[in-house]
Amino acid sequence: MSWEYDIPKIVFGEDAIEELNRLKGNSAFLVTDGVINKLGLVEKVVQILSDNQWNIAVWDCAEQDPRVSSVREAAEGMRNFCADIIVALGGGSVMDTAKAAWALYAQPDMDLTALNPFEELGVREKAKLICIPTTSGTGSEVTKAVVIREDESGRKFATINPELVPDLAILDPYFVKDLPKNLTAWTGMDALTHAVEAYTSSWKNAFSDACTMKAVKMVFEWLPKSVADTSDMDARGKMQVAACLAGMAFSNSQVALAHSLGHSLGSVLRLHHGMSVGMALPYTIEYCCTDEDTAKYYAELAAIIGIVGKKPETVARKFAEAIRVLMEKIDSPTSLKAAKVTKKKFKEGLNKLVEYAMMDAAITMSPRNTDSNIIKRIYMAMFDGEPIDF
Amino acid sequence: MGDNKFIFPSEEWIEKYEEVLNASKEYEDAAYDWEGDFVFEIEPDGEIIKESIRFYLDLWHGKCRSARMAGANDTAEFTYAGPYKNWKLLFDKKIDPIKGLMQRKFKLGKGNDMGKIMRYTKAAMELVNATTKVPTKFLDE
Ligand SMILES: NC(=O)c1ccc[n+]([C@@H]2O[C@H](COP(=O)([O-])OP(=O)(O)OC[C@H]3O[C@@H](n4cnc5c(N)ncnc54)[C@H](O)[C@@H]3O)[C@@H](O)[C@H]2O)c1
Ligand SMILES: [Fe+2]
Repeated sequence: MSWEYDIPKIVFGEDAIEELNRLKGNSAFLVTDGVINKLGLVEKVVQILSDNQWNIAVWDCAEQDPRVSSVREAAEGMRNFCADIIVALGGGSVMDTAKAAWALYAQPDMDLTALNPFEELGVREKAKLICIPTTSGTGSEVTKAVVIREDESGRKFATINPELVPDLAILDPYFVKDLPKNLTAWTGMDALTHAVEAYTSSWKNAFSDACTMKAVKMVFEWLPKSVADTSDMDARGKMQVAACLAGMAFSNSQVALAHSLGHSLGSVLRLHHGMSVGMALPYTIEYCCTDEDTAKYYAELAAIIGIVGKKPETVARKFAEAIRVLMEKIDSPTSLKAAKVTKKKFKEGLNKLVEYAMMDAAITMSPRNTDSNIIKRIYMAMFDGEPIDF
Repeated sequence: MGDNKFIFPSEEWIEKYEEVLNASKEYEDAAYDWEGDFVFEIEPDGEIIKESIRFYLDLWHGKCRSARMAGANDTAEFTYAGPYKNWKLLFDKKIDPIKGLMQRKFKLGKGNDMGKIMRYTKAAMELVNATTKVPTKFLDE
């Protein structure tokens, strides 16, 4: 059965931002957030665009884990400004705001919670999208995915549409130079989770696999360096590439259980996305590796970082442990307790955590099937930091 | 029915499907609060299927309250439709139900509430998974 592999043009490395000089058009709508603006990163982009006589509007109101209402505001801005290019400068939250607003710009009456992979949006009749990531993790600069929150419930919902793959991704290390240690660590774990889940998801394919293998190798090598010395620009540039490769991988083969668990943690406990999915990853490996084929896939990834053995399931469990060791090294919590979630808060939120995880589309990609009871047991293990043995 | 297989599509097949679906713990769990009916449609291919064949399913809180063959005018909140050869591939797990929609091998009805489907993708997948658990003999075999 035929399948497709969608990616944008990618310009990467020092001064990659100069690529903006080659854009054609009149009105550039820049989506970003207040933190990025304060850091002075917006100025660099605005400078290049104004040197090229663009009309520029800067909208710096993107929220962390954007809500539908916030996306609507961004879309309104695009419409009023008649934007013909949209430039997203920020982390996953900014890029997802821009992508979802792009969809609304083309389809003003659309219910965003109904955004799905099957319908035509016609976004390119309105504008092109350029993404400049300022974190190294989500890969949103190359993916067809968006993650938005419902206003009323606060539930994060992830969806895909092939048209939402940006037109151009610019990976310039300058924009991640000030990313603090904790965000470097968490977003790096998001990248690793994308890579591993893409390799074991039911839609895996050779193109995604190739990207995963390089991404896994790079994350284990460069993430600890990137966190240990935040001025190591070489490590930062490498993590940008690793995150982008992992994004290319999962965009075309999907994420799975760790993301369903993680999205729910973001919705209910408001934990950072990368911290959540990274924490969930080893538990989901331990759960899914009882499936024979999946255990082999994990073992293939484990071999990349030098873990080998006769029995794939045993190797997979060692791989899960190696991921925990990596997280300890970079100070990313391996349990909910370690993330300072209190027992009371966890107990209060548990039913909602399970309910939202079951509603998350990525759960259908899990290589081993789940049900609500299993999801609950995995969360309980995650709270205490107990490896999964069921 | 010497080899205990149910001819697809037929009245017997849909009866068996109802039984299989109602025995599916995975479906019950994922669709515990689902309310809405479904039509599965096998589109005519001019060869094996001359006129479209449709199955109606009344789905309520994790159970199938009734399932029957339906006429061309029977409507439901959701329709999942595709040609016969793709249904065969789906049963053989050669087509994934969601990917199948992206590959345009199947389609959902016009105006179906996509927001609702997106919140119940696991239930929808279990619904299709159950079809693969019916011992099936195809019309052209
Ligand atoms: N669409 C996709 O493909 C995809 C993939 C994974 C995750 N996501 C989503 O992306 C979001 C997470 O994105 P994220 O991890 O990039 O974090 P983020 O965009 O939510 O940003 C987190 C915080 O870091 C700040 N920040 C960003 N760049 C910075 C920099 N260079 N220096 C200092 N501070 C900086 C932001 O202002 C914000 O306060 C989640 O909502 C997640 O669900 C989307
Ligand atoms: Fe992610």
